[in-house]
Amino acid sequence: MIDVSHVSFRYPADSEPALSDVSIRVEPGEVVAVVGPNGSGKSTLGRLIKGLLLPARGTIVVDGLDTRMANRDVRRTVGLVFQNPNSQIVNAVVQDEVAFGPENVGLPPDEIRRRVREALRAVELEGRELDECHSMSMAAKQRIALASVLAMEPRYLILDEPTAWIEPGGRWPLLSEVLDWKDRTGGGVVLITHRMDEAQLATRVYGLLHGRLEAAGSPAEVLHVDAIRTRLGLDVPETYALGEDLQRAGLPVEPGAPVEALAEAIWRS
Amino acid sequence: MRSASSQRSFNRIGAGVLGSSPRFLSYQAGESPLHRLDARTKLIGTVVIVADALAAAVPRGMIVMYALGLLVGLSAVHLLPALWRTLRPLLVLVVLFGILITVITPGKPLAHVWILVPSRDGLDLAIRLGLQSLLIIYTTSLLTLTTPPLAVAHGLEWALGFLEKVHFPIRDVISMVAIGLTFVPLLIEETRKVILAQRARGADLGMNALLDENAMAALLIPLLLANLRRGEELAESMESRLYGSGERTSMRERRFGRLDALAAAILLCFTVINLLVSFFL
Amino acid sequence: MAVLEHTGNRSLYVDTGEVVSVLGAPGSGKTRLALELAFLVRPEEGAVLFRGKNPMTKGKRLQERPREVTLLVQNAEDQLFARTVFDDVAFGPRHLMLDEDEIEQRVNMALETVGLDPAEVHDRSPFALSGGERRRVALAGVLAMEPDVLILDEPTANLDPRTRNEFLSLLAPLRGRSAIVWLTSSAREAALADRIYLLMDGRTREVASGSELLADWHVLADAGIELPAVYELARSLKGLGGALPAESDAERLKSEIIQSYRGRRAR
Repeated sequence: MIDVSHVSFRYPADSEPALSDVSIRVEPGEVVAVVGPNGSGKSTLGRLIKGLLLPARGTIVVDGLDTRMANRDVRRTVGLVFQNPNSQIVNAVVQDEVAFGPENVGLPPDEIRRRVREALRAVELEGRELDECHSMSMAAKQRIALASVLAMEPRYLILDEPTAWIEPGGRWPLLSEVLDWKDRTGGGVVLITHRMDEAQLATRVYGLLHGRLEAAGSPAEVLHVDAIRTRLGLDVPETYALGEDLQRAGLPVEPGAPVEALAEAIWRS
Repeated sequence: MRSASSQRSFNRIGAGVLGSSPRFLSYQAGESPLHRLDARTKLIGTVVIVADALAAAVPRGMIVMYALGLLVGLSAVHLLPALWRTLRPLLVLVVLFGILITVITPGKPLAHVWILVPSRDGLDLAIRLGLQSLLIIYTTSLLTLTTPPLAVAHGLEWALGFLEKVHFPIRDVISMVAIGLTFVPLLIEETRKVILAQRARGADLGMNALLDENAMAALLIPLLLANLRRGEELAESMESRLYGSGERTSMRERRFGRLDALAAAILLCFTVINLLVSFFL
Repeated sequence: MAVLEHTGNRSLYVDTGEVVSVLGAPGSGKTRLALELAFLVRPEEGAVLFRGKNPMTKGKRLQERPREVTLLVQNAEDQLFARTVFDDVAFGPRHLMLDEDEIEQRVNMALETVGLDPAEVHDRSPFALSGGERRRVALAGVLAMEPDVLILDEPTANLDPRTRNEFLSLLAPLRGRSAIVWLTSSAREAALADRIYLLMDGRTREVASGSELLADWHVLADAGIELPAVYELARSLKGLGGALPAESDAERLKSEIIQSYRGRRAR
């Protein structure tokens, strides 16, 4: 379990704290969404859980490991996928990039090769081992970034607005690969996003505003309340509004599902 | 519909839109024997061949060394077109320098062409230097074409690791350079993009921009900012994957395997023959 | 006579005072087309004519491009560089050999047009502004050139929904001042233009403009354009074997989907 307890953090150059007194919890096997507008502190929270930043006050404990005491172990336990695929990829060739993490922790070559194979299978990029990363599409690059984190075999996965830079068509495939990983390994997922439809995938949603926890609860309690939605600056996609309209008209649909899922729900019933 | 071709250019850096960037000596993935050699074997091999080339007598030793070069090239035949593309412009340069050396070196005149007097000694020197530099360029090109930059870096770390003992952070320096090199194509694309963007709003940015402080700022500051941001993000991404946290291994580390031993043996043979024919024959 | 014209497979023209949009899916080559129209790269095929003439005939360098055509590149805020907002907006006009008074006047006017108070932002660093404000400054930079043709390459890309709407409202007052070519992947934005070209497979074709644009929605869908959700839904339903509703109006299309669902349930 990830246990963030009363955490505050301020960047040295800022006068305002980036986070004040934030507590959240993530169980293995669940998806937790962290939503909020730009500058609300959601990326900072991700970096704190990963152990890239250390809290000024409060504690963060991941499966019994305190990020302050056991930093290296926490970093192995928690994987973090960043926004921009162009600035996470350090190697020229796909397989080298995916092997980068396992190589850094000194795994034996056979084990590294096994992990590279499995991670590439998980993101459906088998057969592209020898391709050049920089000539691939943004969506494919982000999948490489995901694979390179999965190859570390983390227990938890943090995704910091993972779809912000990729083409619209690549959004759901990426997220469904993450969900498959969760189902397969029983790992926990923290999805940082400002998109309503993505937050909808979570079992629990935390809303951040100006570094404070503004809302917490099930998607229904947080995402479906207009006032909260507006305060958190959530991007309500048109698909979502349509889903709501159809639901109101009595159709058996879940607002927030992608269009294809809406169509299927209508057609099958 | 919206598949591979269209995805390519949906990309903030505009890859594909501005054309592909030149890939000078960049690593080409493959499975040739040359690819499978340990990076360290290739590094030492390259150094030895360079030394061989410098020592080789013309023509006897050179024939031996070019035979070795041919053998090495044949073990990675599919790379030869890429190699040719990089060598072609350099070849022109080597020939031009050769002509220059032939003409300016004093010695027994070969002929009188207008006011130029190519000399016999000049020609000998030109041929010798030309053959040496071609072999060196060819060998180092094969090294960088068959070895990923980070593997070269780790080979260098291993070879120069003793510098760490005198507190010179050779590992960090080499890794930074290697990673920097992987980003050269992206940097070139970004530079083009900034130039186009500033021209699009009325700037000149021709050659005279080099003298114009404001125009240089318009070029350099966006580039600098983009790269600072990227550097910071890269560092985070590497730290997240525990870079530099301990001993590293490699996916393709085969230690010094049978192939490496074979390569070393071949290299040793050729070196001995080269030295024999160059100095004792 | 058209003020700017592209001949060849991607033929299009814009008249003085006109707003045309080029609608294309991501990756359809909009950015390339924008660069060609602004005389920043040579056309892959065809030619670009400014006031009926090709100013970039053989031997002319791209630096000698006509300054009457300016382009707001994608994510133009990334290209700001000067110490103050004023200097940044004045960067282009300073290349026009204008006197300082004229430059000052143009910069102030451009800033006002994009909804920034010149007195307030004049001496501020562009890097101290928010992302949306920086994009406005970038737009002011091309407006201060007082171009005959203004080309906008996905001007609202990567803005959050609120900033996007604010930015769109800025574009209305530009109408009439310059001819505008607006490249976008959003059917909704394209519909704001006087005339619309669809860019697909390296070719342009003119499609119905305004609210009639979506009457052609099957065509748009085939071109990979992301459509309002209800059209995407209709298309998905058809993919599952449903009949394609004939409606082209979004609201009526939605009620038709609801009706047909209820109809099937009733049976």
